[in-house]
Formats: sequence, structure tokens, C-alpha cells
Amino acid sequence: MALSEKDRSLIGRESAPIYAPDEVCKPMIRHWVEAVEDANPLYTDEEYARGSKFGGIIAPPQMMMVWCMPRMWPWPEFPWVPMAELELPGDYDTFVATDMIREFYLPVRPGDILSYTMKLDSVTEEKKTRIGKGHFITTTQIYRNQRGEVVGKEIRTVLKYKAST
Amino acid sequence: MPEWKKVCWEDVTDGQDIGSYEMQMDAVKISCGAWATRDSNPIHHDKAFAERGSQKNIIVNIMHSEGLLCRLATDWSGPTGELKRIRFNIRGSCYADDTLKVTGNVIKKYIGQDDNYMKGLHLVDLQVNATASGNPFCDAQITLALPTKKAHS
Repeated sequence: MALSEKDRSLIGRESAPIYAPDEVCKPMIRHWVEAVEDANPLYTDEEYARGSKFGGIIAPPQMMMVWCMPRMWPWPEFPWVPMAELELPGDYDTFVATDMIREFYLPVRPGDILSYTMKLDSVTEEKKTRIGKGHFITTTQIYRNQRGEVVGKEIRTVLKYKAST
Repeated sequence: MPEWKKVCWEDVTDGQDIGSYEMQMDAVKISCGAWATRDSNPIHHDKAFAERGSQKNIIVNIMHSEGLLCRLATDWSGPTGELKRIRFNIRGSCYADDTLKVTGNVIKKYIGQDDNYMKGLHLVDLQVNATASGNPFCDAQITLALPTKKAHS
């Protein structure tokens, strides 16, 4: 079945910003570093970081989305996001992530307050895949700091499909 | 103060090995990774929940996995290598009690030509693969910007 008028109208739309509950901070960087056992001195060694091109501690770039994870209590209110509105005619019951790219543009530092928006880039017509029929949905999450500078992007494609029986 | 590694772009050859590391996974490590990435899904800390979902144990979460892959890239380059881009793929699961092994090599080195944020930078594309007790777990293509000998960067 073809995409509805409404689904097509959602393509290209972007949500309002969703804010990180806290500013970027050294304790959370340290917790992450412990889990990964990452010795990169830019993340935890003040003296090294001061003498580096960054002039101070930076957060691991891959933590970009960690800062924006929602708090567990009280559960935050989320703005309107275009992908939640998709109708997608068909009895699709499963999601699988098929591609995930993250790009890092600017350093993120302790004290920064990040936010992100969610943009619906594309929704394909129904395609037949190895695992079932479905639609590929591509979204971009755009991360900004408190100055409005884009620090990075996450481009993600998921397949919403009916698992073959 | 420790001496940190500094791999310069000129020293890299296409295809070269970038080394490897192993990490013994357990419930503490996996739940630590989940909480450090603010991921509250019980599949990363509650074994009984995991078993009800037909998993044999709790599993390492995605954001932790990505960190583990990127770590090999900057362990190899030293802190002057900058993470610019990662393309991440999941191939399986890494359970508590698995031995994680992360390996990698250089796909190619080049100067950024595309009209984007990497234009003019001295880049290397890396293939980094992770296995869990020998089974496929996840992999990534990671782009790093490296310092050059000329620019003293």
C-alpha cells in the first residue's frame, strides 16, 4: 500500500528541541570512562587537556546522546516528533535498526548544555527485504550546545516491518 | 606525566593492524555501562528479565558498545587522533561472562575532499570489530582525523 498523504507531509519536518536534564559534567564523564576503561587523557587528565589544542577537558564525543537521555523521574514531557505521527498502512509489528551514523563537529565540554531535535528525513514506500516487508525510516538527530552551535548529528535508519512467518 | 602515543598521518599505511584489546564482561561491567549511558532498559541489569525475553543473560547496551569500539581507535592513535564519524552495526549480543575482544585495521588514509566538516583534514578510515567469546557482536567504520608532521597540529 502506498504511503498516505499525511505520512508524506511529515517528511522533512523537525521537532522542537529536547533538552538534556543536566549540563555536561566531569563526574558523568568519569562514570563513562570507567565503563569503557578509556584512558584518553582529554577526558580526565586536567593537566594534559589544558596543554592540548582543546585547552581543557572534553567529553568523549560518543557521549553526545548520553547527555540527552531522559531523566527517569519525574518523567519529562516530550515535544511533538514527526516519526511518532507516522501511520504506515500495513500490519508492521517489529522495528530493527539497519544503519546508524554519528558525526562529530565540535568538542563538548563540561558546563555545556546540549539539546537535540529529531527530523524525519525519509520514509520509503514498502519494500520487500530478506526479513519481511516494510518501510525504511531515516531520521536525523541534530545536537546543539547552549550557543546554538551544531556539535554533532546522528543519522539513523530503521526498518519497520512485518516479520516473515 | 605519562608519554602519550601520537600517530601521525604520514606514518599510517592502508590495511595496517591497529592492535586489539580484551575485556572480561560481567554483570558489574555491563550494568555500569548501562548506567553510565543513562540506559535504564532492564535487559542491561536484570538477568531474570533477560531470561524471560529468551536471552541467556544481561547484554551490553548500544552506547556502551560504541564507546568500546571507539576506544580502540583512540588507544591506537593516541589522544591527538580525533573522532569525526562512526558508522555502527550490531551483529549479535555480548553477555555477562563473555570475553569481549576488539580488533581493527586501517581501511584507507586520505585527505578530506568532500565539501563538509572534514574537508582538508588528514583522515583515516578504520574497521573495528568486536566479538563476544568468539561470536560476532558489533563493528564500526570509524573516521579519525590525525595530526600531520608538517602542521605540528
